[in-house]
Amino acid sequence: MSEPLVQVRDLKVHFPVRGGLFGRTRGTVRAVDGVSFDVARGETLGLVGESGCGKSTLGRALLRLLEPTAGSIRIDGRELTGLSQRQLRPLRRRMQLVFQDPYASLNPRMTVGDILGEPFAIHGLARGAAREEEVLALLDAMGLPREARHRYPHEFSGGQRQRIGIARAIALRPDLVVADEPISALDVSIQAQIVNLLVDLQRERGLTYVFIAHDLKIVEYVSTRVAVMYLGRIVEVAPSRALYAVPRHPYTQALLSAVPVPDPERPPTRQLLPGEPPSPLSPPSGCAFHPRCPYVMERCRREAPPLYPLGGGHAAACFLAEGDSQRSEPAAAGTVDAASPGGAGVLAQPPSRG
Amino acid sequence: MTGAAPSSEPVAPLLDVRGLTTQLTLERGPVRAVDGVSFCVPPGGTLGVVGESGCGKSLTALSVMRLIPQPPGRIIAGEVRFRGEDLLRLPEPEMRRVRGRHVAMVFQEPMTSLNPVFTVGEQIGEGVRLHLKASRAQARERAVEMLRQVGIPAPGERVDAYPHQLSGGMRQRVMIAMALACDPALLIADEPTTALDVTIQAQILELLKRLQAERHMAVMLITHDLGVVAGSCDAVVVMYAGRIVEQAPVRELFARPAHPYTAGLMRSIPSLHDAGAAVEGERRRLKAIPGMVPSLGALPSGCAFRDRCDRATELCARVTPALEPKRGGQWAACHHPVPAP
Repeated sequence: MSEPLVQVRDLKVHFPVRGGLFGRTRGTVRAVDGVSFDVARGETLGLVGESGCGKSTLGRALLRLLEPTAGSIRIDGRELTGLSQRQLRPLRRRMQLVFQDPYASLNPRMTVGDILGEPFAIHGLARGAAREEEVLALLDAMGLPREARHRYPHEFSGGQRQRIGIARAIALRPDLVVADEPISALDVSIQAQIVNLLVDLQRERGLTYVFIAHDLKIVEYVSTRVAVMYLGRIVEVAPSRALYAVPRHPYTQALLSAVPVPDPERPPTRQLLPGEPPSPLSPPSGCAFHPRCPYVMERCRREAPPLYPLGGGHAAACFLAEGDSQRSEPAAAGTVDAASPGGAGVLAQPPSRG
Repeated sequence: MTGAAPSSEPVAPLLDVRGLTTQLTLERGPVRAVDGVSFCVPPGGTLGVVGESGCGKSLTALSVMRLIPQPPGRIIAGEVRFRGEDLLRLPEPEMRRVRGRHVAMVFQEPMTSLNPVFTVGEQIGEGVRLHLKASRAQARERAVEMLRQVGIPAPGERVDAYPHQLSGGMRQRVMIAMALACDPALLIADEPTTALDVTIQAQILELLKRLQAERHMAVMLITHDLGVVAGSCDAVVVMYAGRIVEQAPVRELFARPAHPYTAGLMRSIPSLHDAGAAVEGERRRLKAIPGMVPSLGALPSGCAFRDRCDRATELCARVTPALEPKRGGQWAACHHPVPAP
C-alpha cells in the first residue's frame, strides 16, 4: 500500500486575541489544537463539526493558506511547514481549494475564459492555442457551454459559478482538493448536481478530497472516511459507514440524532444536548465536550481523553471507548494505526494540551 | 392535524389565504413573485412552506404580514383572512394592532432583526407595553418570564444583556421570546433555524414545538429543509417560481409526492446511512434535478417547471396547470402527476 497523500501530525493553529488600549495579547484562540490524520490517495476525508470547531481553519492550514503554529503537514512525503511562499509556489498547483461562495471567490472583472486560463499563466504552462484548448476541455468537463468563456461570473447562476470555481481548482490537475462547504450556498435542487460533478471528477482524475461541510447527510454520501471535530480537535474518525452506523463519541451520537430526517413516519428521536459549544478562547478543562455530555464522569473534567483506536480504522476520543481500545497504551503521536485495513491510517495520539 | 389542504375543514381556519398575488417591479418590468397562492392554517396547526430561493415563500409570509417593501413590491390581488377578517383591507393603524399581537414573526437572521442599542429585555417588553398596555415594570417582568420559557439560563440577568453579548442560538431564543410575548395565535417562522448549527437547530425546533403545544398556537414554518418539515409540520405547501405546485398532509407528501418537482427534491437528497458515492462497488450518483431554478423575469410558458421535468409534454408548454385535488387530501399543479407507488 502506498504512502498516504496527506499526513498531518499534531497540527496546531492558534490565533492571538488582541484588545485593550495597547493591543496587548489577551488570550489565544486554539482554533486547531493538536490534530493528526492521514488522507489516502483517491479517498475523500469528510470533516464535520459545528461552526467554530476549526474545520475551515484546518482546511486552510492544510494548504498553507493559514500559518500553522505547530505540527507537521506532509503532502506526498514533502513537509509543507517551514517552506517559504516561494518554495511553496510549485507545490500550490498540486493542492487546491474550492470555496463556499463561488461568487466572492471569482474575479468579477475577468471573463470565465481568463479565470480558467489564469492558473496556466501563473505557472507558465500551456500558452496560446494550447491554453485555449485546456479551457475548452475544462468547460466541457464541467458541463458548461463553450461560449461561457466570453462571459463574466455575474451572468451565471450559483450552481454554474460553483462549476467555474471547481474548474479553476482542478485546472492544473492537482492531487488534493480541499472543498470547504462547496454546496451549502446552493439551492437544494442544484446541490446534487455539484455533488455528482465532484464525485465524477474524483473518479476520472483520481483526485483526493478533504470535504468540509456541516451537512452530515452529504458528508456521509461522499466520504470514504469522516472525522468529527469539536473545539479544535478530532473527537472521532472512522470509515463513513461505521461512523454513521455505530458512532462511539457522545458528541457524534448527538450530532447524528439532531439531523432532521425527511420522513414523517420516523418522528425525530433527538438526543438534545444542553448548552452550546464553548468558546475556543477558554476551553473547558479535561474533555472539551464534558459540560454538554450526557455521560460525563469525574475523570472527564480533569483529563482530556486521547483518540483511542477501536479497530477497523475507527477511533474515538472518549473514556467510554477506552475499554474497547486496541492498545493498552495510546500510541505515540506519529505512528499509524496498523490495525486499520486499506492503509487509510487512523492516528492514535495522546493528548498534548497546554 | 392534517388540515391545510383546501378541503372542507371541520374547524374554521385561523388563517385563510386566497389567491394572494404580489408583484415586484424589477428593472426589466413587473414580475409576479407570489402568484395566486391559497392555503389555510387551522388553529394550533403547523403548515410548512417549502421551496428554494426565489420561489416566493418568504414574500408570501411578508405579504400575509403586510410587510412588503413598497416599492418595489405590491399586493395586487387576493385575500388574507385572519379569524375571518381580511387583513389586506385593514387600515394600517389597525394592522399594526394585529402585527406582533395576534400574528408574530421570527426571521432567519436574529442579529439583523434585533436592535443592537437596546437590551433584549427592552425589546421583548416593547410589544407588551404597546399591545397589552403594560407598565415598564410589568413589561420587564414579562420579559424575564419569556426568557425563562425559551430556556435562557439566568433570565433575571440576561434581560439586561445586549444582542451582541449573546450567541446565535441565544439570539434566536430571544427572537422567539419577543414574538411570543403577547401570546399570538399565529407565529410565522421564516427559516428560523437555517443560520444555526445542527445541535442548536434541534434545540430550537424542540422549543418551538413545546411552546406551540402549550399555547395551542398555529405556526407557519417557512424552510428549504424537507427534514425540518417532516419532523415539525402537519401539512405542507411546496412552492416553485411563485406558485404552489403541491399541497398535502405531511405523511401523504413524503409517502407519495404527486408533483415531479416535489418528487425530484426528495430523490436528490441522500438519506442518512447512505454512503453511496464513497463505498466501493456502490458508486451511485445522486438523482439530481437537471437545469436551474428559472428567474421570475424569464419563466417558460405554461408550467414553470417543465424544462426541468422528465414527465413534461407539449401540453405543459401550452397550458399552465392549476392546483387541483389529485388523491386523498393531496393537491398538485401538474398535468402528469407522479403515480402513487
